[in-house]
Amino acid sequence: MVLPGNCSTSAALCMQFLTQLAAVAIDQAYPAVPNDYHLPNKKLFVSYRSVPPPAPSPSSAAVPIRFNSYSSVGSNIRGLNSQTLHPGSMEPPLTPGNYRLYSMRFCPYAQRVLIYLAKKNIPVEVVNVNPDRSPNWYLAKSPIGRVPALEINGKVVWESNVIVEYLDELFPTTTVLPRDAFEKAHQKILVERLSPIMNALFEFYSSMSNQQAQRQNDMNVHSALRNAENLLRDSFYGGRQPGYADYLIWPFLERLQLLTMTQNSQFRYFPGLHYPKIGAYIARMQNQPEIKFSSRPLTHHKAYLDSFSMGMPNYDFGIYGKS
Amino acid sequence: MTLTGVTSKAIRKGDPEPPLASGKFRIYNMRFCPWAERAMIYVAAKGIEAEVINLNVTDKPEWFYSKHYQGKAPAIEHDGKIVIESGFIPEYLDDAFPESRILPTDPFEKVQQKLLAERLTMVAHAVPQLFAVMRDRNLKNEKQEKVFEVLQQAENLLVHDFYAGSAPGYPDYLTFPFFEKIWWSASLDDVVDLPIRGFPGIQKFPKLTAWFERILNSDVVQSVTQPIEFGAEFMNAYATHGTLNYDLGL
Repeated sequence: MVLPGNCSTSAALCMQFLTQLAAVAIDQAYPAVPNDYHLPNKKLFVSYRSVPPPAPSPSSAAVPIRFNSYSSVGSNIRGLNSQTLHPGSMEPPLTPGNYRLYSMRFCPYAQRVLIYLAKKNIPVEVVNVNPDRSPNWYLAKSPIGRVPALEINGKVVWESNVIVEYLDELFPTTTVLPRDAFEKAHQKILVERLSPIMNALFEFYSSMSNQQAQRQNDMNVHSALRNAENLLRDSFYGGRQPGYADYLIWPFLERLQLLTMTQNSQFRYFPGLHYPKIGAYIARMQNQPEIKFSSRPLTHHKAYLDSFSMGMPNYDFGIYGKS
Repeated sequence: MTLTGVTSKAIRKGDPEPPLASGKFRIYNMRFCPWAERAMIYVAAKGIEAEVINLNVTDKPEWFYSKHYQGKAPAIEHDGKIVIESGFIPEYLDDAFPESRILPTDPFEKVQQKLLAERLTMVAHAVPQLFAVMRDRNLKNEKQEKVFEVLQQAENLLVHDFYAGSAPGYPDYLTFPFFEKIWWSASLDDVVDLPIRGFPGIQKFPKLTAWFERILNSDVVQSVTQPIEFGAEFMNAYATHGTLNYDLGL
């Protein structure tokens, strides 16, 4: 599935390629993984109002200690907040028969797989790796060093949408994708049709410091939200329950809320009064245990994004003892 | 073969929607579109009896927007169900018509084939390079390097006779249309230094040359594809913003 490939398969415009502008240039046959990270001369991030970080809320489920006794969702997943492995690290040995997910704590594509794993209750070990400068042993598994990737018994699968479909085939009793061929295709098409949300997010990342660009981006976000509002015909895109389309688009909606924390954007609330269905939808999604488990507080996303804009991504932000 | 209307005239705005009887299968196509060709090849490979409707995509009939929200080809329709996106149609077809499965049933093997097709989408990126050269021949030396690079990567990924193994399969069918566009471009003057016979070249790309010849001449592809002269002419018109003749050669 290509760039807007497949006439539109938004092939993973992974954030790591943003600074290369590889996203839009179809000219590049294969965007190169940066060896030397280009440090911008000036700070790119916009200073946000200095408010103290909010008190831990039930939705900050990334924090290891959970006060919410209702949710045991995610107990099948170990290592969600393990320290990121960089070049020079040793490959952690993987016991045969065990699943491992290679991830990065702030990657939206990896989050898709985590939601799925939490929902399907599959025992898995998470290993966080540096996706911009991958350890050599990791490049041997996933050709371009991308995350997420799933490993079992020496077999490696990458691409978030491919991984989740693979999981549904391995564990059909807990299938998230519908069994009916047409309904299944329809869910995939829905994700495609919701891709303006993803594009709006990436544009937001690259336009944060530029007031002009931010205004244009606001318009694109509105357009994406209008589109999403029209496509929502039931409680969820998957029907009465959250499904494939919901889980695959959620990480991008979660991050779009960062708009409310930037000065140049008009969005003070997200999504705002104009999108009642989406507003209700977001609240509904945030109540789902598998979503709560995989989400991170907005302040954490902001901190990571700022560190990324400065050329020193802090993949370990929020791990106890590090910040 | 199993497809009727492959060389039918393109339907445009103002033309009424031809009724589709229940139980019948239809595919919306554009004769020179590589994305649509992916779906066409897959339908033909599965032996599904289908009726082809060719579209004039610059002057689309309004009723087509009810099939595809952006009015793009390909789309397939049967029993009131419409599926779009050349990346999703093949897998849907394998699910809906399991007797003629092309993708393997083993989940891991299936995933590997999908990932291979994914990696081969870089071949699609060569096409805009060729369009650029068609607009300005001075760019040839620069752009064709990228094309050669892409072909080299494709050559390296070809481990067996076909990308799917010993017989053509999912990755072969989904990628062929883009190789075909490069081949068409090679027949135009001074666009890219590649031979038309023995494409893309037995010296540098031995496996790929054997592969291309086998797939091009297979019944499946021959039943859906267009002659190289028309293909090249259409690509040239598209690149130079000339008038597009969707019924070229008919």
